Amino acid sequence: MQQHHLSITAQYNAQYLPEGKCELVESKYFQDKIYSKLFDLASNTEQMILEQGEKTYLISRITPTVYLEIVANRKAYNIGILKNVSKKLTEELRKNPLSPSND
Amino acid sequence: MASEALKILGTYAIEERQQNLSIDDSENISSVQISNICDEISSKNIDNLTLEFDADSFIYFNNFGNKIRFLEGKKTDYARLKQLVNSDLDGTIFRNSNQKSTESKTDSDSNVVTEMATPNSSSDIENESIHIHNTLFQSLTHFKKAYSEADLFFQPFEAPGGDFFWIKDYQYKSLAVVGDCTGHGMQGAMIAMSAMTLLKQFFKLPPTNIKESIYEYHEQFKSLMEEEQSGQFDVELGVILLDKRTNEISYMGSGINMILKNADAVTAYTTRKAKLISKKQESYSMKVEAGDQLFILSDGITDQFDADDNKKLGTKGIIKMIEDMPDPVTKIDFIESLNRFRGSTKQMDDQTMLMLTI
Repeated sequence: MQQHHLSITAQYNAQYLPEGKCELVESKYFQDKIYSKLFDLASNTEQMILEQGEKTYLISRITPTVYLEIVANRKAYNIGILKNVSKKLTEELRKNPLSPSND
Repeated sequence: MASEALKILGTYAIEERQQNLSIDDSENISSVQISNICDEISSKNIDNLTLEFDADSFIYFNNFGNKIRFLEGKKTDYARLKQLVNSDLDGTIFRNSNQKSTESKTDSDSNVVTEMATPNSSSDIENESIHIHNTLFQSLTHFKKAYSEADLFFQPFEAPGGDFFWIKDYQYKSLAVVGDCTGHGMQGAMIAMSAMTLLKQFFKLPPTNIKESIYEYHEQFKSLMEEEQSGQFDVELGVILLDKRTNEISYMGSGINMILKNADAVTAYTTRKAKLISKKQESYSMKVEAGDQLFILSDGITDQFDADDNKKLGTKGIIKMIEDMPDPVTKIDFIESLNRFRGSTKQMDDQTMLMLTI
């Protein structure tokens, strides 16, 4: 993952979701994620929002193999806010081509 | 407001692993995929899941513990459809795409507003507005504290709509309200929000005299709209005050009627705004028994024209409709009867009926 993409994500995280977490995730590292199987089951999904216990997860497809994952406390942010962060960040990230890591 | 074009509607019984589809017309997902996703939701204890596709559609799943209810609709209708699923309404309501029925419960997650939450399009603004408006509504569980059964038929002409409902449960008494504000759509909803806010403040304590309270409420509502001279922005109420110790009810309204169905008869208790203005509207008091049903309904129901677009349902019509329905009257029976009556004739106003069983 390119460094500048990671820094953009970190910047958005600090600015808009100080109590949440934004990160880019490659699909090959999905196995431990709560949503790993769901993307396989609904392969044409562009964005997924799920709520489990105290947490809200919003996962957006950036490229076929790179996803933006936002995890936030359910009581701290509503979904409209998370979707707006995701939309702005996704647009920002897509301005520059993304490629997966080689490892 | 975009129309609801539902592609999928159904439930998945978790224990039986059995899927029940009321509508299945999706290009995005197969019924097998839905079953597998429901299994995954159940095994991971996911409370709810939204899948968004590249077009304008989404599928929303809500996990009720023993079953998962899901639907696919347009993203522009997201807030409203999500609340429909959450409120556990029966799927048969949505078969007719002209019917926009909604019931809602408060969502504490919706109270956070920051700069980033600013909607980007008119449909986002509509969805956010509907969401804010609907957060004032309660789920039916609140009504079941004082009544053995409670159900709601809530069908705005244009969402979010000017009709509303509210209950306040006190130690010995319970106050149930249906309101109908001038207009419909966003205009009606804005007035409804003011009316509901005042209502919640006004009835913090149980009223001692429901008739005087309703007169006073309307005076205060008039003061609230202080720059409004024409009387155009107004609210009609129907209020039941139940004494839980004695099973006595008092009914007072300012244009909304109540119908009582007991073992003997179906009786309408009518109220009129004109009578309220001329200080001639009286309240009704009566004793009720377990199993009696109370219906408070907005005039959008009695003003509904029949299948020939010729005659309104009217108060006599709704009494006859209730008399003809199996006992006890259920929401589904009522919807079927109303649909039969109106055929393909369009709904012209917000329609709300609160159904309470003692």
